[in-house]
Amino acid sequence: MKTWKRNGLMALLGIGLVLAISAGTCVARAADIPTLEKELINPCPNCGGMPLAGSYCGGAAEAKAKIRTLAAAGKTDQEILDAFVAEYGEWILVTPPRRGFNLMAWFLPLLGIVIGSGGLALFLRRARGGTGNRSESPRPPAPEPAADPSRNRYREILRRELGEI
Amino acid sequence: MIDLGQYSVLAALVLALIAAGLGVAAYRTRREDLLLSTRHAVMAAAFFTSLACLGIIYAFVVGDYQMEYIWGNSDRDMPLFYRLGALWGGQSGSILFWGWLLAMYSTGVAIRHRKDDLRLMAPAYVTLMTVLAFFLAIVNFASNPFRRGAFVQPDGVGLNPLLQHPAMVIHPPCLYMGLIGFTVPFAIAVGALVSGQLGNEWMKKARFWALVAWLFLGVGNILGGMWAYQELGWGGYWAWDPVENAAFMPWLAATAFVHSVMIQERKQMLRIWNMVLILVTFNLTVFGTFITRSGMISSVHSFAQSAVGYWFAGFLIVSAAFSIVMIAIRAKDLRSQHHLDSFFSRESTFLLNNLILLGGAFAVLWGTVSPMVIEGIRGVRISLGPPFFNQIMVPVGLALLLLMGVGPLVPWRRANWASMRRTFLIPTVLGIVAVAILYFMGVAHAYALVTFSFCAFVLWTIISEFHRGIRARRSSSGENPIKALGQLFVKGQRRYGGYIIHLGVVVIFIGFAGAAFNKQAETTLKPGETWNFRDYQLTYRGLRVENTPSVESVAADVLLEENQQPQAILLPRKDWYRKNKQLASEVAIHSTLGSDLYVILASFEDATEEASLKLYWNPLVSWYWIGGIVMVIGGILVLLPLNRRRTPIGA
Repeated sequence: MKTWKRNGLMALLGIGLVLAISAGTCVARAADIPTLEKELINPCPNCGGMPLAGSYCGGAAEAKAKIRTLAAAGKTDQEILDAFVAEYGEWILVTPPRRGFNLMAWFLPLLGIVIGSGGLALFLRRARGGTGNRSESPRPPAPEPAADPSRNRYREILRRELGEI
Repeated sequence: MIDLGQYSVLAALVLALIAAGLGVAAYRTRREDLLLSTRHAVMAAAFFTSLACLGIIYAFVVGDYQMEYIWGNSDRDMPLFYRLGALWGGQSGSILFWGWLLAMYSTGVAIRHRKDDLRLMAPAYVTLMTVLAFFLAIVNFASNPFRRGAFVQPDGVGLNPLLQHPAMVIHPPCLYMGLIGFTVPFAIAVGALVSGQLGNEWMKKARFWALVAWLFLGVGNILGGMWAYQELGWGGYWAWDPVENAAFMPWLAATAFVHSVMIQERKQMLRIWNMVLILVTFNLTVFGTFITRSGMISSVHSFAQSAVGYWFAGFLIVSAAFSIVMIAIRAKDLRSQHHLDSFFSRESTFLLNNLILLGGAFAVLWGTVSPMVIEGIRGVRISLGPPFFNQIMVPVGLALLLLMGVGPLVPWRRANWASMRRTFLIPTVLGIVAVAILYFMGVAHAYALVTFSFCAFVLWTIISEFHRGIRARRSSSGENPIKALGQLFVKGQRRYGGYIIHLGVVVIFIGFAGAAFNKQAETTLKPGETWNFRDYQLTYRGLRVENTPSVESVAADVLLEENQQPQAILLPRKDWYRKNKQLASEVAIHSTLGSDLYVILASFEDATEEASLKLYWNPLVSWYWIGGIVMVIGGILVLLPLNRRRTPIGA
């Protein structure tokens, strides 16, 4: 029964993971202008580097017109993005190409979380008294030593708070 | 008025320095009378800072345009409401205002903690007054709002039109109250570190102020979103702009703090950790102020930037170095006995919550600064926009949401597998059922489904906690359900107030999930034409032009119908502010609980009256604001001094 429950939980997690990954990947690049406007920064120097999609100043209008011209000329999404990068530089992309040092942007937060998790695991293991081999399954509840008066009080409070469930 | 103001800010600076000096003397000599003098000097500094602020407000109201600041941020036509807001509408005024809030907080500390331990409080006052002196030094020497212009101007240029919005009058004070508020728990932590009073005493005092600041910061962020949504006209409320991030990071760290102090309280664990969290939170607020003020990172908030950035850079270095050194010196004394009964316990869920919150804060921090770092390495400018942050922070947010439901179900110390199965069964099933129902209703977005499912889970947890609490009270004291509920908030103030805050978070997440279904469209209409969008019919009835001396505004008159039933008249417009020579778009929003219809007048032709409209359909946005209100109610329930009643009067 216990394993069934745990397998079920794992399966759920797995499904969640698959869903999450597919959500990330299935938005393949559609050849549409709204998407391009979301992938480019508004080049207007006075408008603070927001995505083009929500910008309505003169500079933004020019850039949007340029996208339309290029699209009308039969350019693909990638060619249009490349044209903008050639004109302004990499910063015109909402997120930089994922290569070289740019990967640091993604890598470091992950590293932070991995190190943090490692630190937490280490801490838990030490706080738990050095036995790290039972990390998954908690021990069956040990019988509460009734001699400890503070524990009795604790149980008393617990009983009161839980009511008669 | 100018002279009075200039003398006031100078007097306030001198008094802040005197207060700091008195605090040092009080600590050295352990003399209570010196501590009393310190507190009085704090209040005197607060008095003169207030006087300076009143001076600015007075100058705005009467229109004293010989002051550059008044001239640059207001004009004769501005309503009184916005003239008040103009106090923090520009650089120098906002720094003075910032100092004033800190002075008010310090006065609050001097009153609330008047009977508290000298060893803890004297260094705390010294810290508060040093920070205040720093802000007042900027006001006096770098960015003085009382500076006289070269000649007297007949009228001002007006406030940046983007800032002329009701939320803008409340949002900055809220945000500042939050950011500056973390100086207080920081100061108390410094008091503990300096004096070696490292028990739970400092933590209990700091927690109250941290909660106050946390609440204001949260509300400030939400109001900022409201301003962005209604004023910036891109259809959203959060864009991971550096300045938004600056206010979000300390909020995350502070959220970790208000949770992990519970572990210290119960188990005497994590003493170093809590200390570190509060120092990190404060330093993140300083860092945030620095990036906002320096204009080092380009942002839509660039109206606040200037050379005072160097002042903040210096301040950041000093405060970070000080924090690290103090922790290093006291690390030995802060070490505590760590003991966990089980990996599977409430304690562990709290630790996991801390890990995720800090991981999130770190990711946001790194996302904010990495364009600069990468530019430094590669010499090529890059941008890191919303998709990056969403990629990382959506999973982080979902993990926190789930944990918010799991945490309260797991007992302290040690969970029993069999009972866990019982408690988890219903909410898990509920979550899955929610997914199934929504999926068959046609909701196919994975993240949204997961969010709704987690929301159902957490909601059930919260409701069952209240249900259990009420039942327990009823069986022990026979109260009626309403009274029992009220008593829960009095007796278990932090716990049940906390659950209300969690409820607000759930509602906010429902609002977030709605964003997965946003739709947008644009079209150009001639007068009389109707545009069909989903179930809506938008009939464009022509342009409406309105002129006032300061603004020329052109609105598109749009009749909104839903399933042929008239709903509203929408007037998206463009305003031309003559004096600032600025064009601003005012969106029209038709808001219901289910969705917002958000219409922008993108452009128009004068001759033909053709109008180009951009339309966003944003489901569930209202839930975001409602969730914010619920959070505030929860926060107030936690902070209200309800428990005082418990002290026996007849005793």
